[in-house]
Amino acid sequence: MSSALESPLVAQQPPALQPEAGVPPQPAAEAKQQGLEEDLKASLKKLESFEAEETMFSCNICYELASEPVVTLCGHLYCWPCLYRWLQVQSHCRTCPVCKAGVEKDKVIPIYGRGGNEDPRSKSKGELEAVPQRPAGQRPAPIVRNPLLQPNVNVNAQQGGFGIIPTLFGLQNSNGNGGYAEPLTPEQQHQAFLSRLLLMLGSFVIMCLLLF
Amino acid sequence: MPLDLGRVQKEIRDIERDKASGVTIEIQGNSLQKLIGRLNGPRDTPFDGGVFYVDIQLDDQYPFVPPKMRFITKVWHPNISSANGAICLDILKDQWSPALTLKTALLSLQALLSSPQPDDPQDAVVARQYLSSLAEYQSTAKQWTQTYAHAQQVVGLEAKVQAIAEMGFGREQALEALRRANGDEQQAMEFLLGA
Repeated sequence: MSSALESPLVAQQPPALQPEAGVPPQPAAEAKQQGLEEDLKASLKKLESFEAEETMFSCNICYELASEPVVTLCGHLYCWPCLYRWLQVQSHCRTCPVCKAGVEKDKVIPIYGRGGNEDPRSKSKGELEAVPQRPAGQRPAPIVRNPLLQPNVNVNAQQGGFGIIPTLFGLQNSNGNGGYAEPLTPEQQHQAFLSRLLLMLGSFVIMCLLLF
Repeated sequence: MPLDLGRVQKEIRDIERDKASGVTIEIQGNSLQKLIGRLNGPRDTPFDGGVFYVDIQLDDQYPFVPPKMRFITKVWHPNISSANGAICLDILKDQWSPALTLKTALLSLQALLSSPQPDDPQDAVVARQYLSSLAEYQSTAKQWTQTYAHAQQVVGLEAKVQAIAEMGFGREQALEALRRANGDEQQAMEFLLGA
């Protein structure tokens, strides 16, 4: 290995770095070779970790890096063509190959990575078997965090019997706690808004009664 | 669609890498569709100390359909036919899943040897004996293990003799070398080349 590696190394060195006459060129070359060996080791390690990564993201049926990846509701990763084929084979009771949980064709979640994974093998697979498009991902509406509409108390108290009173406190304390609140679902926000409206109406009526 | 060679190769590599599992696999011919599995008899059973060979055939549909497995070595067990080695095991039939592998299937066979299921028999005679007199069953199974499941059994002999004969050795010579090497083709070749 050493002789094979040394010659290109020496050739690579620019003329300015060549050791002066009289100084043997070995130390520099050796140091460089050591560096190269370390590089080699590092790249081997990288390859190993890449392999581990590939195993982690490989399809549970074909053992290749999943192409057109989909994940079942039980969390197991497959190529869409592989899973589709298994669901076709197993027509009576469709289960996940790994954990036997129920699997439905339109209830798997597609995974969209950064690169478009164009694998010619998966394409030929798809064309031969006429595998349909994998189902599209679900797109839930983002949760809006509007500080005006959000009460500051915890959600459980609000759902209890006296929904209105904590909301009142929430209204008064909204600046005291740094404005942080747990994100609420749109439904809860709506409820909070309604209860506050009711409270305002109630206090208005009481004021009317007291004044007039 | 042809057999998924990539997956089978990966499975074989995994089995070779995992020496601790106690099961091994050997390729027959060059198609990867015919394999021979080898497992050791589980401890504290009548099969302890035995070496059992399993004929494995992979369908084109594998891993979507189970591998076809059959014991080559004769076994006395309620769920294994004493006549032809056919196996009654749910994961080799309707309970198969593509997440299972040849290794897990061979390990399941090992588990089957240690826990017979006489209620779902493959060999009715053995199952009846198992249920009526366990001691008799155990002694028969032990005797069969000692007679048939010794390490020197030569499995797939004909194919190996032919493979060696193709390299220019005589049939008799090949047979003799294989016997000396306990059926190991490579070792037999070394004997022949060394002699």
